[in-house]
Amino acid sequence: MIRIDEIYNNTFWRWIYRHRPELRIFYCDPFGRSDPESVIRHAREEELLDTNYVFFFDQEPVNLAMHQLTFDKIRYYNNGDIHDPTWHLCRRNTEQPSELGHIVTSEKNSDSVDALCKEYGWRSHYYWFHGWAALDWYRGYDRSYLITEPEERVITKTFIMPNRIVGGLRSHRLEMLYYIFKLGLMDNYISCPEICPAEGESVKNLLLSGALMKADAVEAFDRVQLPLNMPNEVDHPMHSCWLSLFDESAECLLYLVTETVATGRRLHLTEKIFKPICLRMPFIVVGTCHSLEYLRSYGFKTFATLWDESYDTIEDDHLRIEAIARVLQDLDRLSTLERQRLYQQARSIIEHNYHHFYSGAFEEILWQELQSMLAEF
Amino acid sequence: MFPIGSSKPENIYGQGRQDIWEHNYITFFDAEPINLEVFRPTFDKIRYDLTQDIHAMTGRMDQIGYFVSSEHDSDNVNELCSIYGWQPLHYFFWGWAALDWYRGYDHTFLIRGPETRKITHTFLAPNRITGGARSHRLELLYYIFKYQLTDNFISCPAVCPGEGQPIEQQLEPLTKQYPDIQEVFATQNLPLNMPGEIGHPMHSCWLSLFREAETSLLYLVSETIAQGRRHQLTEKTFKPICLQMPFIIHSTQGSLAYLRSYGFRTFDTIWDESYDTIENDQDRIRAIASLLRDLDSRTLEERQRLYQRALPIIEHNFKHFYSGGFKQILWQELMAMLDTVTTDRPLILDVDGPNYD
Repeated sequence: MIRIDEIYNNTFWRWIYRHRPELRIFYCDPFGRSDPESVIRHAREEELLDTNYVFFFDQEPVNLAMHQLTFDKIRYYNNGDIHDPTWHLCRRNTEQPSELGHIVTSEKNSDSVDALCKEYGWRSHYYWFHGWAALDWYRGYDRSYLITEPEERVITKTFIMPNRIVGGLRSHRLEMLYYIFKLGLMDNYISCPEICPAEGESVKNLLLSGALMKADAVEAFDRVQLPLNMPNEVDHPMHSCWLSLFDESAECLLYLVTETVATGRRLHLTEKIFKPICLRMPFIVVGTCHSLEYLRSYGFKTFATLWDESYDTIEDDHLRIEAIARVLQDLDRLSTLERQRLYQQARSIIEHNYHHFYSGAFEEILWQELQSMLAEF
Repeated sequence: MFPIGSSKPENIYGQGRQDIWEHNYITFFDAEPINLEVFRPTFDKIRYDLTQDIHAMTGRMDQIGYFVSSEHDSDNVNELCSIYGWQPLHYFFWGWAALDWYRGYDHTFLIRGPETRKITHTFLAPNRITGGARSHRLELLYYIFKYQLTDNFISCPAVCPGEGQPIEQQLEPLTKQYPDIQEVFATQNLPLNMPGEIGHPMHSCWLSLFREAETSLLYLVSETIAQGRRHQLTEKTFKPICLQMPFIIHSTQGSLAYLRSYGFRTFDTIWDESYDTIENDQDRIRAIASLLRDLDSRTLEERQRLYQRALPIIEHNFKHFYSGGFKQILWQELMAMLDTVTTDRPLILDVDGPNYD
């Protein structure tokens, strides 16, 4: 466990202060911010120790166009000294290091990170920030009585699919919803706002502006009355740092996780993927290609023995979503008894994942990874 | 009671069901030590107001109601329950609080590893509230000042931040037992602050004083409760465990034994822990002070050696806290406590089968 809101101060900065005192660090605070004004710096400038720097940009997915001002701020802050060869020579009587600037992200095998590093000349490092966030945020639910025991569950629905932000870079959620509505899979727990709470744009306008590039998109969405809310929920509350929807989850065969990122070559899973694991449910992930494989590399198991998970290997982002829709449709066609049986078959995987998350095994993997990342400095 | 730490009648938070006949009730009063005088209005409100309907419907004016506290073997709880007719139940609330509050410090780099520490002081003794029911802290500070053990990390306010009273005033009631207490305190220039600290900040839910901790042989825990027959340890006891330090606990008789019952180890192989068995509260304080004086008289090399000898115990405690061992014990205890409550569940509730909830 790491207290996630103290990870920069108590873990990274303290390690660097002790082991690499010449590294200046930057990160964004508070959580979720990524604009230039949110950048915080820890340094030992007054001691003239800093010869290099590292930017922890590990909460948000990397988007060069969107975060350019933030990256520029970091790069140009260091122009006056670290990036100036004469500064090293005159003030410290040392050579300028050959490699200047490091960026730490929570993104693996990422074209976005590669492009960023090419643009700024930085070296990238990786650890799974959101794994640590989930361990902290979802701690203790294993000692609560909020979640129905798997053996007591009566499965009446195929899936639960909460959606909040659906505009801009999250339009893959609309694409998934498009198939769900088109295929008539609405007798499930689905939420979808009428107006995207982040973009302030109505779903209708987003569709009309061609967000999905589907001729029948409006028609498909006309089959439902937006907003779609979860029972007893008003609007679309932010629930990132809690588990919720316990009763609804207990009725569903699986959790359809619509991840933050689902396009392009990169691996970036957030706390969302851990919700079904903690709620003791199977899941299907609308994420980037190979997301399931990425999750498995951390010791979790997925559900290839129960349904077709080949969607995870489809590189084309749109075809992958279409493939997921087909799996959902197949599962939704099953009788209630068959879905119940499927859930029972999934229980050994569910238990493995739950235990892996709460027993400390996942944490140990993350800790080894984090320490290896620090050792790269 | 809500929020944590509150104990007034207006802080009572009730949860119940309208769809089932409520035949009994449970009061969770687990975040504060029981003080019958101070909290009587709260207990009265629960017994004679909020649960009056249950007592009336069952036709039982006493012998119903559960009272959950974080106090073990407690005269105070026994007295309370005999007055109100409640059945006492116990779980270690503060163990859970500490597990939550001090989570993640095992994955930080805030404090030097035990094997690399250089011991330069005997003890670290933070003190914040010193008045009212916490005056035992002043008693121990009296000895610390009298024995001139002040070349250590000690904090003590000039005005108690809890009571708002100047220390001189708080010393008044103690002059009967310690006639020279005012003079002894006058030798100190209060407030005593920890390095870099201003005032006496509330740090219950964080670890702090890392530099001071890593240079001290031990942490002197001045617990919330140190009088009477009761076991009530708080999050304070877990600070040295998480800071990987030995400790002396200034609390009630048997506190170390109580802590050991949760799987932790204490330091009787390193120094005299017989203070824990002394029944008289004042004698116990005196024994702790003598022990501190003895340890403080040792050379730096000897103190370093003592710390090294304590390492296996320190490591055991740290691991027990952070690896899930302690949590598992607490969980068994909590479930056993809940099991007690289920034993008197009326059969009438089984009419609709086990899924009534």
